[in-house]
Amino acid sequence: MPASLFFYGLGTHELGKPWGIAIATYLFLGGLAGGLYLSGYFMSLVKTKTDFSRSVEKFGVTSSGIVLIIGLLSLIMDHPNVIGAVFNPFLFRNLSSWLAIGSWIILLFLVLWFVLAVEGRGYIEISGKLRLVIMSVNAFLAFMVILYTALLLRGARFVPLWLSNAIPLLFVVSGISTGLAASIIYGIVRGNEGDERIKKADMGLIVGELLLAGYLLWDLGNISSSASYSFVRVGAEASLNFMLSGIFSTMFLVGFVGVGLILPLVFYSISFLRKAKIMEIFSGISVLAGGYIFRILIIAAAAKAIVLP
Amino acid sequence: MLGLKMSRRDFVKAGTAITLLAAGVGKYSGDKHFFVKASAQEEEGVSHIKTICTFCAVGCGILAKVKNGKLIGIEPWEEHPINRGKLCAKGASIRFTVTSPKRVKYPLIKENGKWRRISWDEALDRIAKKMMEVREKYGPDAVFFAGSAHTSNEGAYLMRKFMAFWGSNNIDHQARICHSTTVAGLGNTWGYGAMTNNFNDMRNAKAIIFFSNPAEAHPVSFFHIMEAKRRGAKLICADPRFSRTAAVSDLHLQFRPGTDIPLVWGICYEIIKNGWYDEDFIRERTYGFDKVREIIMQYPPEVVEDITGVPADKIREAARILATNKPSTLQYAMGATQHECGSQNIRAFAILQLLLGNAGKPGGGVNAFRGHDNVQGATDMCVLSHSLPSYYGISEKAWKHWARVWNVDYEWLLSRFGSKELMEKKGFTMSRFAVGALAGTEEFPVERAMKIDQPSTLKIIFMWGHSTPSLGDTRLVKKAFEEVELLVVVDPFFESGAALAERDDGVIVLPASTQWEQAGSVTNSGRQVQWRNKVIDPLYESKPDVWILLSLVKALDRYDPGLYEKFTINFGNKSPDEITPEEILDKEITVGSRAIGMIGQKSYRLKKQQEYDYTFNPETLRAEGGPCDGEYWGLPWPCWNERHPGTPVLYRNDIPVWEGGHDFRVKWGTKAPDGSSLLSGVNGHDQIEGWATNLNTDYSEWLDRNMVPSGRGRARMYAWNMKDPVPVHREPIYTPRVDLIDRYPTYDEEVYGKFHYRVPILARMLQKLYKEYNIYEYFPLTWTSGRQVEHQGGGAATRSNRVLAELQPEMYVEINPYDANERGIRNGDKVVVISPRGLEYGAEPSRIVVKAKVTNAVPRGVVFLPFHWAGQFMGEPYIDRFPSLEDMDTKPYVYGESANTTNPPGWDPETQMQNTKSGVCNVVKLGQEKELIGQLEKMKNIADRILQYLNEKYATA
Amino acid sequence: MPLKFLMDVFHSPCIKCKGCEAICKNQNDTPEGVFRIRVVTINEGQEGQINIPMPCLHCNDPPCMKVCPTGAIYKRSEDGVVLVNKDVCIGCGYCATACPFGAPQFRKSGAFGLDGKMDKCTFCVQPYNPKDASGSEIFREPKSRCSMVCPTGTINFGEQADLAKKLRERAAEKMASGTLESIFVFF
Repeated sequence: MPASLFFYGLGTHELGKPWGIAIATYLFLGGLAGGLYLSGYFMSLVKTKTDFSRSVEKFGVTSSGIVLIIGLLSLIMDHPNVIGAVFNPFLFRNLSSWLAIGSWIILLFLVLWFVLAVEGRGYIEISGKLRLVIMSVNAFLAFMVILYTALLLRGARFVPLWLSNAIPLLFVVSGISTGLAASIIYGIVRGNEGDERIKKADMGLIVGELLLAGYLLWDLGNISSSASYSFVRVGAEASLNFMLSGIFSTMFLVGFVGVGLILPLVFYSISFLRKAKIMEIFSGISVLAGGYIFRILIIAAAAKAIVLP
Repeated sequence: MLGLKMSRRDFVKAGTAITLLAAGVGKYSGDKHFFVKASAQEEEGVSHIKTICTFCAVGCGILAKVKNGKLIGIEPWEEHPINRGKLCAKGASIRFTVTSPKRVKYPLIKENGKWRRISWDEALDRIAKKMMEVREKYGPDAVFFAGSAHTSNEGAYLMRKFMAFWGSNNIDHQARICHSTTVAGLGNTWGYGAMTNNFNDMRNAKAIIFFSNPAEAHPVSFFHIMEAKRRGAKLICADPRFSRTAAVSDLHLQFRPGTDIPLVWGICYEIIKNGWYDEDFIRERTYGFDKVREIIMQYPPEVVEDITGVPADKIREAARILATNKPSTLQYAMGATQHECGSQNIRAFAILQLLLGNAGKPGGGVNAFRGHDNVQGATDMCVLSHSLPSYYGISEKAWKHWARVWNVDYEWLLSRFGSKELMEKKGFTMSRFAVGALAGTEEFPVERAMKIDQPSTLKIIFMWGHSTPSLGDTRLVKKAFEEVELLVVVDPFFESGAALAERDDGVIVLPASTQWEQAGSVTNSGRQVQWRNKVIDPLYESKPDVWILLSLVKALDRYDPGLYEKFTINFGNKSPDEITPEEILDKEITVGSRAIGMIGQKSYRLKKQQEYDYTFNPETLRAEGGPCDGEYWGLPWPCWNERHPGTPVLYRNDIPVWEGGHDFRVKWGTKAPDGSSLLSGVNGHDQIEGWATNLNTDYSEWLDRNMVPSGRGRARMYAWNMKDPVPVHREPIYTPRVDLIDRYPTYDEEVYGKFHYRVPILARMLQKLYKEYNIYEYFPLTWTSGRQVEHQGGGAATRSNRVLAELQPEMYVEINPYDANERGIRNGDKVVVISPRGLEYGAEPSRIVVKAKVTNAVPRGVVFLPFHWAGQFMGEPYIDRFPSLEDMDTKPYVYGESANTTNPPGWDPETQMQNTKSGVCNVVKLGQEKELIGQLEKMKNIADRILQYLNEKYATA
Repeated sequence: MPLKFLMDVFHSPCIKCKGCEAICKNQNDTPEGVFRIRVVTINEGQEGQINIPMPCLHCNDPPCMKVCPTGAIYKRSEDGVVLVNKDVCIGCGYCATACPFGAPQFRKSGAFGLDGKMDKCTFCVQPYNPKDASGSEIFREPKSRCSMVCPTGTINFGEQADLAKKLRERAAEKMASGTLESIFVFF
């Protein structure tokens, strides 16, 4: 996909296009990291431990931080000056900005993740109770990381697509779903027997996502016809056109809905009927691909009608 | 691209939103951030120098910021009466042109295929030596001098004087291919061939009809046009394109290129039919209304609709607007002049204004917007092959007049020429000088057969501040540049012609300084003469034009003793370094230029006006109080003497001549051939005996009696001495409406005479062959060209300006979505624009490779090309041939194809204006052009037919 | 006394001569790809074509300032000019997504697409490089060059109160000529 397809500003192609595929990667990996941690956390809460649940728990908790750091690196690649903030996080002082809030959330999450990771390797010891507290606090932070990726977009108040209520819900559901999918792949690749419950949970999330995607379209249609300001209407309409008939329609219909939602449901269903691990891996991969495509789409199709002075 | 469709209503609502947001409903409360107190830091050692923009002819003032002799920026000159600090993209970024690293830094010579640095002395000596060698071998007429409208009046004047002293009329400049038809058209109608009013005066108009695109070509004129619109003026735009001018106009007449006359006649028809014409005005001040009416009545709106494609109702509406909102003014530029019927187009405009009684009135008139910063001045100085300065012509009388001004013997001047006949014969023009170099050469059979009306072909060509992209038929020009023995290019930037020519030696490039590095007077389109101050010393080794010319004369003096002494006798024979532009203006130009009344514009007056700019009222352009009390800004000519305030509105007879009154000239005798009087019905009188040649009079005795030295005559609606006494429609030679060719044929060859400016011209013959060979079937699209707002002329200066290059980096062809889709072309595709140019001399059809811009701005069946581009020829970039030495890279930031490679043939019978506005072409995707060229195989014998014709016609020549 | 731009959209007189873009580059020395003002065209080449210059409008409640994570964007209290502290800006681009006018600019160069700190219209208070030779920050008099050179009077600049007065005068003009109705739609 050529980068030139990513743009901001409808009225023109000339005004800046500051966010592109790197930001989409960042949002995706942020969601995935949160999802991974949460699936690990849920597994740790499960009473009946299996090999599978144990490996997923360990994998989820450990990998989440690494994935998040990769996401941050993607951000820094695209916006090299951000590196300044890595060395001096106190630059993030404007707490009315979701970027600043999110950065602090990520920082805290990473600190706690680091503690857990060190404990996991056996360098330090933490009592079970304290560990549970830390795990729970970090689970909340992980949830916030996912949510923050959506609210970051919502903070830019003039992009109608990002203003839809469906977006935060979609991000949360999709984030957890991708986390579960990644966990399933890991568990199966490690040769463990899959867990029916986690598959069912993921299927449930995917169905929820489908509904939310419908809601997003409905909501956008609503905005495009009844928002009070014309630039909001124009922007929403353009986003809608992008996704349904315009340049990003393939991405939305085939990429997100087809590969990301329908295909996993089919694969999961097949894997229920006859035990085929490969199907579960397939479905996991398509969930991940769909999640990534979804983030790219949300950045790419974010039409912003220029407000005319 | 995605179109944002917003209805006006939506749009207005969006506007509401922003009013809320930006204008005060927000809840911002104070500043809680760190904050440094603002202070206006006055920069030390910075001086602001008043000067004039060097791009178009609006004549905008700019304040140049100079620190330690370096140009560090510009500021708007808010007290300049014409532009009040307003600037367009070109003027606002002028600093990047002047200080561009792409400038030519020192003289260059091409030897053995390599560019080499040489010294000024060596360069000038080589040129002088070669000139003398050619002079001895072939005579003085073997030199062609392309002068420039981008120099000051003094530079332009010296160019003409130089060629007069050299002994040839082979000198021409941009005005030939720019507004020469204006001079012929308006001059033959009412005396002077210049913009009648001025830019500021357009505020007074109640209706304006545009025949060009000033929004893109002269943006700052919209400072006044918009003011008129705010005051309620109606704007009508007549343009084949939906241009930016059309976007702000109330009515758009989208006509087919080349049908200006029927469109105007359609409007005139309505005016006459409804009795909207000004009877008193026509009776008292014009001649030949009955004959004009006869012709006009042949063009009712329905007929015009068929020819032009403009709905009859729109024509009626335009006529109503113009007739009911008086005074109305008419504006035009290249779109009207660059046709083979260019002079007639302009005549039609003048007649429209005469019918409405708008001529000679504030807010009325015919406003010809000129192109270059000093093209009016260079035209007045007649850097032209058919006239001496101030439009005296080249008759014996004219030569004697100027010989007196120059303080030399007429006999001596005569001895410089090949013969008396050559001295009084019009020279080659910018449109066809290539034939002068190519006649008798081997390349093209037809061009070879062309006979020329002088003893020798051209051996030396000077391109002194003239661009190659603006010349028609680039292939022929390229060949001419390759054929001559020496090509001399003088330009601040590397003019593309020197690289276009594929030759290994015989090219000398001299670095002229930009106009901001030299002082001089410039005349803007409204005849206002302004003093342009020198801003900085010439950069690198570049030199002012005046210096280069004088030094060239000095170099010639070595081989032709006494030349320099005679040339500078009025300036005390000082060295080139010491002669100032002030001297040239005061001692020669304003002494001799009597026929246009350029007498009172002495340098001290111009400088005084500049100093007291704030005393001028921008509405009237007149100083109120102060040292310049009563003077008009720029002392627009005619300015009869040093106490005269100038004439801002030509032909205005309701004010005293001392206050700027004027009248139609008595130029063709006091009686017309049919016996009716040509003297005005209001105080009419003949021109004063010897008014143009008497060097001693200051005219005050006649001005006191309210007499105009050039007489008080009538405007001629019927001009018996022209090829068409009344304009009639003539289809372009290559027209998409073949069915109209027989009804409205173009000129016969006989009209041009055996030789026309020393070359044979083909017209009707080409049109007949066009029809006979069904050329139109292969080239169904109408070809037209024009301007981009960011570039100017040949673009050497603007494409080397980093800001302008960024704002407009591309050459493109505008094509309607319908035509594009028919050909499978998408926006941004590389396409080939291919035209039948070249078939007439046995070459392959010419073509250019450009990017497609699919837009609704052009109607179906029309394509539009901007012409500012060079650096690529018929698909092959030649940017590598631009010199790139260690410390100098002259390659412009952006380059592209020259549109005029594909322009159609066609030359005006009055002035030999080239046609660059209405041709035919086809557009195909890159790679598919071979197929089309293959289909044209059978047209090979077109050239043979022409060859046969030429051989018969010129058998005895 | 907040300073403001007022775009004359009602008459939509802009002819896209780009004088504003060029004088801005001249005045503020912005590098390639950075336009503090840009003329936007809607419906190009057809009936209803509108050109609008889009600079920063120095909002009273600037969305860019709100979303800037580091607080690099600030609004001067005495004249309401929105400025960027380039020492603190991390070039995240969040402001550009938040701005409804496309005002924030980033130099598009460097290996990974975006480089540089955010740059925007400052009413000509600060050039692109806001430090002078001695390293102290430059603060010039707020005097926007684009409005000074705009030939058609599309861009107007001044104190909010003066501009409001100008609008009112225009409304009165319309009332006198009996076309006030059309202006009510607008305001």
